[in-house]
Amino acid sequence: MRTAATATTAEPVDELMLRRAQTGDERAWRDLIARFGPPVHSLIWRLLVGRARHRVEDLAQETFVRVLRALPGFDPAGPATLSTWILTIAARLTLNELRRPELAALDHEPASAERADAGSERKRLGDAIAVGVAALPDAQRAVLVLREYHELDYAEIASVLELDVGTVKSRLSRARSTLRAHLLTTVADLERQS
Amino acid sequence: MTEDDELREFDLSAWEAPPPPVDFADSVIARAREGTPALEVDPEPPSSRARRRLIGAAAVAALAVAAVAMIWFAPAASREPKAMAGEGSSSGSDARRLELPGAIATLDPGADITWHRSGDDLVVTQRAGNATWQVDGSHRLVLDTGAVGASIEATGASLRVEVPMNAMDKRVLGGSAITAAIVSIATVTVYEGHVKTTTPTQTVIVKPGEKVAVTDDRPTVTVEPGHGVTAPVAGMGETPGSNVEVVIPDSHDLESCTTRFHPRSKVLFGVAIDHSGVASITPKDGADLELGDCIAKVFTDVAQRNHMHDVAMQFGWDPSAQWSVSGPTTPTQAPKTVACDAKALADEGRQKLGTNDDVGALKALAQSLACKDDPSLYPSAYMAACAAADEKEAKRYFNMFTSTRQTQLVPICLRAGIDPRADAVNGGAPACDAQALADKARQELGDSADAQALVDFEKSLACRDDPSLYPTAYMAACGSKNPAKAKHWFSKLPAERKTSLVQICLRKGIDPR
Repeated sequence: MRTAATATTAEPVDELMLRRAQTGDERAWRDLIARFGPPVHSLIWRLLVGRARHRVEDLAQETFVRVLRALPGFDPAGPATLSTWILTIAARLTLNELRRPELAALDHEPASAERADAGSERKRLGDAIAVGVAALPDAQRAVLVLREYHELDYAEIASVLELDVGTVKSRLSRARSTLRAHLLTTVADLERQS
Repeated sequence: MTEDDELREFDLSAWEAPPPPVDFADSVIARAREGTPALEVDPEPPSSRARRRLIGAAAVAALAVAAVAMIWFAPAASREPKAMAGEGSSSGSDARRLELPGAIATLDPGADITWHRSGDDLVVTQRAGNATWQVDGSHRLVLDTGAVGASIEATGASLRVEVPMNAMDKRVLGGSAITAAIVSIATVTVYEGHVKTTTPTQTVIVKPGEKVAVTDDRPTVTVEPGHGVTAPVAGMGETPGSNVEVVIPDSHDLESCTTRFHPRSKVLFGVAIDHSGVASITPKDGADLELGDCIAKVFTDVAQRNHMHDVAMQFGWDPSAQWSVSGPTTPTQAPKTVACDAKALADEGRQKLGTNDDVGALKALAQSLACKDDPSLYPSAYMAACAAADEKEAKRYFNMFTSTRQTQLVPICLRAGIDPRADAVNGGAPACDAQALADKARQELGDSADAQALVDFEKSLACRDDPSLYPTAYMAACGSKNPAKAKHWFSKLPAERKTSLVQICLRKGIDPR
């Protein structure tokens, strides 16, 4: 099941919002941030799961600062949609951040399923997913999050991460398998405990 | 099980991400306005870069060589140029020197540039501020300052490019042509080598010691030392050297501006047309650059009322800078001493309508609408046309109403023996052009004319119901802060769109739900 609510960009509103934002209209900037802020924030938040969560807001802000500056040069007729382009900037900034040595290891363990509040099955599942995603290598995590939570297709993910489509598919396959195994184990443990 | 189904058994949405903080947009915009982090390499996708426009929609460029000029020009800049990547951007409040591929840029405080390589070309967008460029002989600098249809190219040259104001940093005002004109002005001073400026009408080689202004699609003009930048005017109907005064009538849009500008409700501006056909409008009171946007509206209004169909403005950092408005007038319509007064004409029309002078009322209302399009006058004009038995005008105004409004108003004409729906009923030529109205509305929305865009979207939808227009009509309603309309159009959105679009109105203090 996918959850992402990434704004689609083939809509006229986006085209108009973009045109206005490209002229420096602050109202349009605000509309654009309101529209794309949540997916950008959630992308960064998920990519940084277990690592430097305090950097999420700063990176999200930095993403939009770069977006606003580069916006006049963005070609809506180009191959990248506005949404994908913005997510590209967010993803690359975050992956660059993750390359910093001090962020290589988890700085905190995401709340595990076992420690979740009783009575909240959904929350425990969410926490289990967080633990599983946090354990993935950065490259696999990025592919998985972009696919499962932002509904990018293989070609778009390839463009965002500068990979070929085959690599995207293989990383996604490995990430899904790893996460599935983790979730099956976790769910089984939870069922035994309950 | 396909790969995409592999995790289907788990509800991945259970891992919920928090939303950004409520003041997120404020923080971003404040940070963007600060211009602090000099983002020297943008993580733009290559596909986007490859598509970036080089010269097409833009403007002024330059290259440069002159080391001599750099010393006096940028005393605060770092003495050692900072080597830069093949693409990136730089902006900030400090003077900077950047070593770009094939050129060295010395940026004044506030200058804002982006650059990328295209073969041996260094393509630069200088959006705002001033910069001195040194370009070596083996590279070409293509510089874009935002002027439409213009370009500046230099190889083996030293030059200074000044972009005193870039409309991309200003609120969009009025029509797109005016906006584009506001964008346009940049000056290029050549110290060494030769620089080519190209506009749709001419190509000029600028020699050392020369300074030129490059504006949109007008010819490049030489700027005399100590003079502001103006654009030449063709077809000016007024006598060169003459002076006229233009009365700015009361206007809701200009009210706050004119109030600040002058304590009286009417503000006089001196308009001087010099021997080269340039009209400049100077406020009688002192200038205040903080009123930039407001003044732009005033000048736009003045120009339109005086039949100037284009406006160019100079906005400088210097508070004493003169604003000038210039543009060709319609040859047969010289500037008038007193512009039309839409409000007075509307009042006259309403008064005549009340005294059964229907023909006179229709004429006055039509004149008012020609002076200033005001949809609130359409019903009066329609009623006058019905009463005056002017079927053609009655149908014209009738077709400007929404379908709901048409239903309400059609009896007025029917009682006068006119069926304003006749064309549609009889299968005649379409009385309205939904596509044209939608296109017009989109353009207006793009130009931030939200209220007018809403009117035209509704006209288009009344002409032909097209659900694909609902989101844009909704956005226009939000932008024009019209809660009733916002709720109306929001209610028509598909459920899956409401979640993503609700924020647009919420941000403007309207809850459309």
